[in-house]
Amino acid sequence: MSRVDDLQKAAEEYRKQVAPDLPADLVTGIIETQISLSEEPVACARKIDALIEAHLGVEDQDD
Amino acid sequence: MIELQCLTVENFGPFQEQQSIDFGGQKGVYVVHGNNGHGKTSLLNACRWAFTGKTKNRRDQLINRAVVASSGQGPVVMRVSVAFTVDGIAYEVRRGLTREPGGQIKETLTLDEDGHVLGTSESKGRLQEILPAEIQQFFFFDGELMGQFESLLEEKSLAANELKDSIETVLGIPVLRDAGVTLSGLSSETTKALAKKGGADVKNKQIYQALKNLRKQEAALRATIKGSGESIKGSSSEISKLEKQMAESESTRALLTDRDKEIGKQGELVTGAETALNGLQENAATAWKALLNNRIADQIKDIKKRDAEISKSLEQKRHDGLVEKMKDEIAKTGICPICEEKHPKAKFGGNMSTNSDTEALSLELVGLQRQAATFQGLGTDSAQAQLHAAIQTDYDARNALEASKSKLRDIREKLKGVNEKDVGEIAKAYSNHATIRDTAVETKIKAEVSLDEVKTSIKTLEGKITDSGEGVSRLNKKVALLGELSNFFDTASDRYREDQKGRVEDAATKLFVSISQQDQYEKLRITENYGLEILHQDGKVEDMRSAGFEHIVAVSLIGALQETSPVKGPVVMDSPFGRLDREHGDRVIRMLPNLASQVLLLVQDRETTPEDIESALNAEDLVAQRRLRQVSAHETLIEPIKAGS
Repeated sequence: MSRVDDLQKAAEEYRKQVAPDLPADLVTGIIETQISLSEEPVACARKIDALIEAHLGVEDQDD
Repeated sequence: MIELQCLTVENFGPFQEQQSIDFGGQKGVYVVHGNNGHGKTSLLNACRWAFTGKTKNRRDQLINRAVVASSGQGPVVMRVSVAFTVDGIAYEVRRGLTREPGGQIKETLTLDEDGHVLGTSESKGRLQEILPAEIQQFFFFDGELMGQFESLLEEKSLAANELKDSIETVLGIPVLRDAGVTLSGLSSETTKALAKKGGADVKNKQIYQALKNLRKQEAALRATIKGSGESIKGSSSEISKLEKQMAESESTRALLTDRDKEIGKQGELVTGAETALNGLQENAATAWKALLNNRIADQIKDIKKRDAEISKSLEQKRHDGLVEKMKDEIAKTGICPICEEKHPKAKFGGNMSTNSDTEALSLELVGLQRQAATFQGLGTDSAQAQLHAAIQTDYDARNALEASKSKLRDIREKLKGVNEKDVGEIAKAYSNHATIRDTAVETKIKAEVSLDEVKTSIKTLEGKITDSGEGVSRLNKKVALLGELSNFFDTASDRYREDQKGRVEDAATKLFVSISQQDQYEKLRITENYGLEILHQDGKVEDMRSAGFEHIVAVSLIGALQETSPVKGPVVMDSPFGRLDREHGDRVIRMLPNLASQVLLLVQDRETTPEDIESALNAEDLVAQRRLRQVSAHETLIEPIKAGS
């Protein structure tokens, strides 16, 4: 199991326990981004922002 | 998981020609034997440099000096390459230094990923992703790192803080924590954007101002809840540590309480004994009277007898006088004064006592009564009784005092060797932590109630804004989502830290028990700083750790971090048995296959020999053994081990 998988698995457990309403794929995407862009905080923040915007976009469409 | 295939060095350190350590992807232990100066540390540095670009030496010192010297003004190229796989994907990292004719050093880096060559920047990023530089020390380490682990028990040292950060990094904790920070930053940005956009609408201005204040309150309450939670956790952890000590010292504390009570009681008993003694002395002063008691009692008895006789005589005389008087009357009148009948006149004669007899008897009676009163006034009966009572009181008081002294002696005997200050401090610390915990619980509950109220208010206000304009509703949703995500990652980070610490503790204990094989040790306990305390069977912490045991604890921690970390890979150990005796060294060797899936062990003959390695490890766990043969001061060859060499 890779480093990302390990953390994502743990985070998914916690999400189910403490914040089941949060979208699992968003949590997973944030962890992946945080690992891959850990050395570039600005790029990391922009990419996470984009993930959230994309998620809200999907929600808007659903509405 | 990172798996080594092959390490190749050329003109690196004491290695001139291209030479390799070839794992061939096998799991197990690869051992390289070599004495000081033969190049063991260079092999460790080659691995570290290839993966992270970090080295403890200056870059120009990495190039083989003999090659540099023989090249004259010509260029010299040094190369290190490591072929490895990560979860089945093949990589080869190649780092090189070229010494230009002018003496300048030029560094090159390439990374092949599954047959594709990545550019320098991408290679750096990918390597950092595969094996972050901050945690390389847990994969490529020497005795120096082992020594640093001791600092983890000194909670305030700078070295401990740095190492703690590295450990948290290897355990993957900063990923979740940093995600929380990133999300919190985005939340602030979006909140500002929302205020700007919504604030333009005059109608909503007040609502945004109120929302801003509520969000500030929300953040403050969350911080309070988090702080209280940490305080509860910290104090509970201290309380659970102290509970065992409290239980152990319970009988001692009971003895100390008894002793203090007895000391107080003894003060009262001393006063009582003094009072009793004073009473005895006072009574003794009149006690001589008791000696006359019987005689005086006889005297009083005689007096009383005489008193009775005289009283009887006086009665008789008064009776006789009355009869005489009546006779005189009858003689004079012939009429009885009582029945008033006529009686023949008669002459009565008799022994009439004289008035002087009666007076004499009366006087004697008065004298006797006065004498009796004098004797009784001496109080001999009561003096004797009081003296007896005083003697008894004094006796009882002295007995009680002696009994108390004896009890106190017994208690003090039982308390011999007890450090009263320690016992007192344990109880005091327990009480302090209990107060801190109770206060924190109360604060947390209050803050949670307030947070619910604030969240409801925010929701109500947000509901009012939703209809007010395009884009605002979307920003509102985003702020709410970011807030939830940020809080989630904060919580997840805390829980992940605790879970990982528990796993490290369990894994380290397992290794420690198998290496140390000391029955009296129960387990290792991880501290807030990731230091590991050795616990005895009785729960006490070992405070006299030998250098050898420090070493075993360090090896156990490294093994535990390997097992627990989301980053798994080979371990390269340089002279790791420095402070271990042969027996414990052999146990560590036997445990190496459990430490990581691949171990490159660099050792001196003083630490272990090829024969010892062969006897300690199963054949399937031993990949190969090599020896570093020094050809000259700047040339070493990596050679297979020959039988008997």
